[in-house]
Amino acid sequence: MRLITKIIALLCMGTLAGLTSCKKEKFTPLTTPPVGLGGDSWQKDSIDIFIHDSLTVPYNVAVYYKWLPGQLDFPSDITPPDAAKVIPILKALLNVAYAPYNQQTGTIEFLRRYLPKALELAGSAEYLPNGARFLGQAEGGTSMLLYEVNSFSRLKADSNTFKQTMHTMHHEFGHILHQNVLYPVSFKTISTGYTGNWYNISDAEARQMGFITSYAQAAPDEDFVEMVSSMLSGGPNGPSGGYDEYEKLLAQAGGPGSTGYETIKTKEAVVVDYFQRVWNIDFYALRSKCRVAFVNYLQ
Amino acid sequence: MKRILIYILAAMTIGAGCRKTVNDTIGGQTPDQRIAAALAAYQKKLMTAPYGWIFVESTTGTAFNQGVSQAGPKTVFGYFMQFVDSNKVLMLSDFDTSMATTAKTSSYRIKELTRPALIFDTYNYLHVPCDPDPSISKSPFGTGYGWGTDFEYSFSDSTVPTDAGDTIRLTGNLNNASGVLIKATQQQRDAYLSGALRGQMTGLVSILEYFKRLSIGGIIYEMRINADKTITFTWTTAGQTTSQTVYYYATGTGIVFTTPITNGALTITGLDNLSWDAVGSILSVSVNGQHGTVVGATAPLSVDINAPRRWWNYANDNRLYWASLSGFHVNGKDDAFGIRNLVTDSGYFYHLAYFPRFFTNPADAFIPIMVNVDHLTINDYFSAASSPPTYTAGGRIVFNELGTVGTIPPGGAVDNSDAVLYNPAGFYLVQTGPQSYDMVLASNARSWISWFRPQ
Repeated sequence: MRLITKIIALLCMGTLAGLTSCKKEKFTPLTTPPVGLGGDSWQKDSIDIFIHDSLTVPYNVAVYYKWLPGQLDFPSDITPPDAAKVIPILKALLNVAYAPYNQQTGTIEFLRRYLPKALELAGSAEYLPNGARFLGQAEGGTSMLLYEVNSFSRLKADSNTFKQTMHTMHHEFGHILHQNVLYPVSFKTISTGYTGNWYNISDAEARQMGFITSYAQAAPDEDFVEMVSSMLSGGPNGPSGGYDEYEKLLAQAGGPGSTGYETIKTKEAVVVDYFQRVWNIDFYALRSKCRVAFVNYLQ
Repeated sequence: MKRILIYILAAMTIGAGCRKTVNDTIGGQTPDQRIAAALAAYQKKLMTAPYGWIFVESTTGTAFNQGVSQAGPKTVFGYFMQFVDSNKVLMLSDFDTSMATTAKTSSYRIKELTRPALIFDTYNYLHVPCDPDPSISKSPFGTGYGWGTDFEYSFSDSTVPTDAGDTIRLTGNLNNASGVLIKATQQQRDAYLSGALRGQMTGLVSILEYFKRLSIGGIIYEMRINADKTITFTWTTAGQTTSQTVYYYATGTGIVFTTPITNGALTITGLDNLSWDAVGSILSVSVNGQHGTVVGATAPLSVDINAPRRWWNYANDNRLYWASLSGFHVNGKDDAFGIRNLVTDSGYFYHLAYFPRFFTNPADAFIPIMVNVDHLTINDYFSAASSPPTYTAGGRIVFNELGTVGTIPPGGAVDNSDAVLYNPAGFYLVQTGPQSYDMVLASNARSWISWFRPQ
């Protein structure tokens, strides 16, 4: 057809489009906030007040104990904590795990700076298909998760469980520290034989191979923090059958001169040096304070 | 030329109809406004029920963990709940007698997820069957799995809260358990808080005999209370025998069936006001307002004459043994002889076996299977029985002891179990499933053992 007809056709369509295109609605501001903005709220009770006064104000730590969908590993069968256990476990953390660091550094500023800002509490453990179960998790220096809060007890008869909780706390905090400043790379090559099959090896066997616990054999990061936590609060399945102090675990590794013993001692030296050089903390003095705090807290 | 103009006209007509408007409101309300209204309506409904709620939770038979599903038995639990204020809930549960008696308070909140949700956000009785620790949940699904119950639910009525009457429907977010909250009456609330739930639960198991007969409206129903929160009813009308198995939960005022028993025109939705007379050994109940009784019996209403042969032949023909996890139940006590704690030179107790033609000469063996480090093995002492056993005309099986292997410690679990097995009164066999039987002592029906085919 003729060019002019084409042009007219195009012009008509253009006008048409201009006439009927979406009229932009005028923006109407909201008068009420969107549902859920700002997070959940509830009537504050003694637990919330305790958290605010003892953790949030001094250490800038928020504690999540009420179930929040999607916060923990999902979709997994994990339960929230029993409210009656929340203040007891937080008090135990403050008195047995945190206080020694405060005493050793002479200030609360160290923990205030390096404690992860979110502490999540779970009532049960998290169970994995391979039969292992999580007792704790630490993520990138930002959050820490403690499981099995419902099993917490400070009775002498349950001291094994209490030791396990403190071990977990020191383990996770160890991760936070090395996620801020890594330990010497040379640590990673003291041992070989890190394996994903760690849960099929007993703690006693692992010690003979130079790993302080079987979980230490999972990876160098875990090896490092298992050294830290085993020195500060003992390790599982020692000669007594339960949690024993570090020196007793060394006995299971073989005497001085054995491969297991010497390897662990080499790792011990790296840990102690790391704490002194990077954080200016005398690790052996810290350990004494942890042991005293633990014994004094048992009922 | 004409065609072009027609096309242009057509385009203009269609274009004129295409006016975009932005309108996500329903009834003039935006989604946010509707969500906020729904959350407030649910909160109000929960809190303003004057006598609290009865919560019935039913599972699908599947439990999830780490994104993996596990199959297992279905179950039902019944709770009493009072939503005390905007964040506190008080609970009682029919999970066990202590949870039936001691009320526990925890917190809850209502939140918008992809649907309005009711979250029981700190631990209470509701969380116990969810617990991945099987020593707490008693779940048979395996470590890491509960019963397939939930504590985080979506509101799942297909209508607004005010139109849903005296109930609220819930669906669990992890395991798709279905729940219904039913407004409690004052009578029900008072019964719960006075501790009556415990009595209804214990009333149901007060009768020591395996065979229980409910007599109501002139009809006799045989009741068998099973381990999986079900009751099997059997009755005969005009020569025809009917059997129906229903799930049940306990409340402060009785036992409620999740599906009713229907016998012609008669519908039985539950047994109310269970009351146990220990002197006369009679359980009084009320059904549809009518008084009835439940008493024990020493034989089934209708004997399954061929069951003993079927039981023995099934294992013999397939070269299997029948297994029992907890040995004999006697006078109301499971594992009366403590066989689950048996430790011998052969190892630790795994399960108890009845093995047809264990010996080729022939003889059967009644023998504990033990775990020794990493494998199963037979126990080093046990008794041998005649092969095959004796079958009576009355449909019973009688076992005759031929001798023993090894030295059986007198008064121990194996000795005590043998004493029951070789009782000359013999046993009735009741088939409970395609590969399971209960074997009930015919003298008084107060001892029995549950057999299953081991995998």
